[in-house]
Amino acid sequence: MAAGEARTRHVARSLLGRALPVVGVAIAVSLFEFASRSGLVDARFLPPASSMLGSLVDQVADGSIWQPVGQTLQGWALGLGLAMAIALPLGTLIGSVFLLFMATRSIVEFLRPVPSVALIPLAVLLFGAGLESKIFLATFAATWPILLQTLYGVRDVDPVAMETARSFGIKAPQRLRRVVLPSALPYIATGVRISSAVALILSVTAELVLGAPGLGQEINIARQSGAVELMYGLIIATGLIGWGLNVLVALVERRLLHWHPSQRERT
Amino acid sequence: MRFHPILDRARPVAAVVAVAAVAVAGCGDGDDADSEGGGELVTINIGTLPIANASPMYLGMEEGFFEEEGLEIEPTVLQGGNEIITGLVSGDYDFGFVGYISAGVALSQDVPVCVVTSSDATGTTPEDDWQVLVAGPDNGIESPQDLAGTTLGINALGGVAEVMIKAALDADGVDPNSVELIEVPFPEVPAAVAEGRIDAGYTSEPFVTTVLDQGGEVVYAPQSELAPEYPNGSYAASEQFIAENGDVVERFARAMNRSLDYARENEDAVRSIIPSFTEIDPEVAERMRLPVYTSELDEQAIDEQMGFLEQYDIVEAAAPTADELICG
Repeated sequence: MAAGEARTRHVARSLLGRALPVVGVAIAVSLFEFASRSGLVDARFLPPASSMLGSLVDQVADGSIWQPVGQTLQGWALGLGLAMAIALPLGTLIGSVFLLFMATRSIVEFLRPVPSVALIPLAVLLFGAGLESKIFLATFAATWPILLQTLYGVRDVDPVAMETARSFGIKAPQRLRRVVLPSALPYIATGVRISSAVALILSVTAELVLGAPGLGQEINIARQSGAVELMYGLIIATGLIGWGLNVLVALVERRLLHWHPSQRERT
Repeated sequence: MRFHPILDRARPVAAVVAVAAVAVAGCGDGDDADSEGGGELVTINIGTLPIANASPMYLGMEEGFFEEEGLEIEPTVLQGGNEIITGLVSGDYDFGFVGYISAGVALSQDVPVCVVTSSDATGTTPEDDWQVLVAGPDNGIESPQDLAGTTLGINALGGVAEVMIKAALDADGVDPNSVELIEVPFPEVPAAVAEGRIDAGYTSEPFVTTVLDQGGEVVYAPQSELAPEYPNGSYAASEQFIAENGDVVERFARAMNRSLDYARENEDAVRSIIPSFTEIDPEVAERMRLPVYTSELDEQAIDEQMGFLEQYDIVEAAAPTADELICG
C-alpha cells in the first residue's frame, strides 16, 4: 500500500517536473502577447509574440534563415573550440604550478573583465572585418570562464587523494589523468557551458557591428529597414539557438559526468 | 563641459586606424584588386549600409555597368559609417559608402581616406527631403524659431545631424545652442516621437514614412534649408588603395558615376531594387522619399560643410578643404 502510494507520488512529481517548464513558457508568451495587444506597449514597435513567431516561421518555411544560422554557428563552434584548446591546457598548467598561479593571477583578473566588444577596433586591425574577427572576439570572451574553472578545478583536487596517489608511486602524467582531471571535470564542464553562451553572444555581436555574415547582420538589416517583426523574429531565433546549444552541452556534460554525485542526484 | 560621446569614441578608433595604416603600409600587403588577368573580373569589396542610398550600386551591378569595367562588386553590409571607415583603412573594403561629414571628420584626425565619387544629396524642400526632423501630431513646431528650447534626437553627436541642424538653425537666425541634442538611432525615432520622449527626431527613410503614416509631420529639413540638393553621401577609399590601384579606382569611378546617373533617371528601377537588399516593405519602397542620386561633386557645398566642422567645434584640428577631401 505504502509503496504504491509513494510510486504514485513519484509519478505525479515527475509529470509536474516535465509540465512546469512548458507552463512557464506558455505564461511568458501570453504575457508578451497581452502586453502589446492590450496597448500596454505600442504594438507597432513591440509587436505581439504571435507576429514575431509568425515572421520567424516564415523565415524557416522559405529556408532563408538557414544560411545565416549556419554562419553564426560556425563562429560559435570555432570560437568555443579555440577557447577550449587554449584554456584547458593553460588552466591545467597554471592550476598545477603554484608559482605560476600566483604570477598570473593579476593578469588573468585584469584581462577577464575586459569586454570583448571593446576589442572590436583591435580585432579589425589584426584580422579585418570578416570571420577571423568574429572568431577572435568569441574566442577571447569564451576563454576566461573555461580557464578560470579549469584552474580552480585543478587547484581544488583533494590533497589526500593526491598524496595517496603519490605514495603509491603513481607518476605525474598518470596522476593528472586519473586524479586531477576527473576531479576537475565538473568545474570544466560548467566553464564550457558558460562559454558556449558567451561564444554565441559574441558571434552575433560581431555580425551586428562588423557586418560579418550571419544572424546578427540579418537583424541589423531588418532593424534599419523598419521590419520590426522580422527583427524580433530573428532575435528569438538567436535565443532558441542559445537554448538548444545549452541543452546539447548539458547532455554531453551528463554523459561525461554520469559517475559524479551532482549528476546522479538529477536522474 | 560639452559632451561628445561619438568623438570620444572615434578618437581611439582613429588612433588605432592610423596605426593600422602604418602597419599595413609597412607590410606592403599586395591587394588582390591590382591583379588583372585577361578578361577576368577584378573583385572589389565595398562597405555599405542597408539603406536606399546604396541603390545605385546594386542597380549598376544588375545593369552590368561594373562588369563592363571588368569589376565585380562584393558588398558587405555594416551598421554605420565609422565601421566602414575603419574597414577602408584596414584594407577590408576597397571602397565604402561614407558621408562627406564623416569623411571630413576622419581626415581631420589624420585618418587617410578620401572621396572617390559622389553618391547622393538631400532633397530640395521639407516635402521631398528624406533625412529630416520629424515629430508627432500636435507638436507645436511651426517655424524654425519654435525649435529653440526643444530636445532633439539625432543619430550621433558630432556627426552629420549635429552639423546640419546647427548650421541650418544659425542660417535661420536661431541660436544653435538653444536646442538640446541627445542620441536616438534612426530606427528608434518613430517610437521616441510617438511616446513624446523627444520633441522631434532626426531620421531617414523608411522611418520618415513610418512617422508620416502614424500621423506625424516633418517639422524641419536642415539640409534642404541650407541649399537644395545639398551633398550627403559619397564613395570613399583609403589613400593607400588610391595610390596603389589607380586603374581600378578610375574604372570604379566611371561605373559608379554611370550607376548614379542611371538611378537618377530611373526612379522605378530604384524603387523596385530597394527590397532586394533591404527588408523594406515593397509597398513602402514604392512611396517613400528617395535620396537624390548625383554623380556631381559639388565642391563649393562640400567646402561649406567642412567649414561647419570647425565652426561648430565638431573637429579639434583643422577641417580639410573640399580639394583635400576629394582624392587626387
